[in-house]
Amino acid sequence: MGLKKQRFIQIINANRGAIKSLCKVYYSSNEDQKDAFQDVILQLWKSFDTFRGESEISTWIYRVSLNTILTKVKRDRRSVTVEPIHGTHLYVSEAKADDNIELLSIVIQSLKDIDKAIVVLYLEGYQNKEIAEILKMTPTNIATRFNRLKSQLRIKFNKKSYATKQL
Amino acid sequence: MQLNNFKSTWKQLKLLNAMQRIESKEILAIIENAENVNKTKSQRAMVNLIIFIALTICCQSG
Repeated sequence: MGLKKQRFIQIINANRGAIKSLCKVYYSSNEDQKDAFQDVILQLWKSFDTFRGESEISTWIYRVSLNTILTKVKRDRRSVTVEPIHGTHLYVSEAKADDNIELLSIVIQSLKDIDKAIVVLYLEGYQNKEIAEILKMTPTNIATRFNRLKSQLRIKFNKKSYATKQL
Repeated sequence: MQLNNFKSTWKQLKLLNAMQRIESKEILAIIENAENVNKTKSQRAMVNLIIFIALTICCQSG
């Protein structure tokens, strides 16, 4: 195995939590998650040569992974009716999950595809400008979408406060 | 509901999903499979090109 491949494997393993979490955000079944994971790895490998270290490695991982998954989701929707992912979980096993993860799962799954990416990047600590660069959008567009989704979530989850309190 | 409160939850979620290490074999299989497919595609394209050139030469000289 070459040095390049060894380094690539190390990077993937160091960031496996983020990659797997992203796949789980967009896909419910294990099979779809595995497919998405393979697509992401392949895309990361293809663009590995072009990574010049100008940004953090995690930023590159998020950029390639999210754009790959968003393209895949769009393609899958065109070819078949994608099953909605309500009632699925983002975590590994129920025994390890806690209420906050369950609630985050509900919140993320109530969002549109692009809004899920914005929220995930926000939770990762990125600023609007960086989110815009990663998702190839303008910072104004991100700020508008983010404000809109925050007020939507406020309305939705205030209405459902009884249900969420039950979790 | 404050999204800010979910920052630590997202971190926790990533840790949970990172519990299982990915085998090197698994990653290598993904990238090498794609490399093989690309190799086969370019080989096939090359063969087709040679056949096309040969047929063109034959047709012109005949």
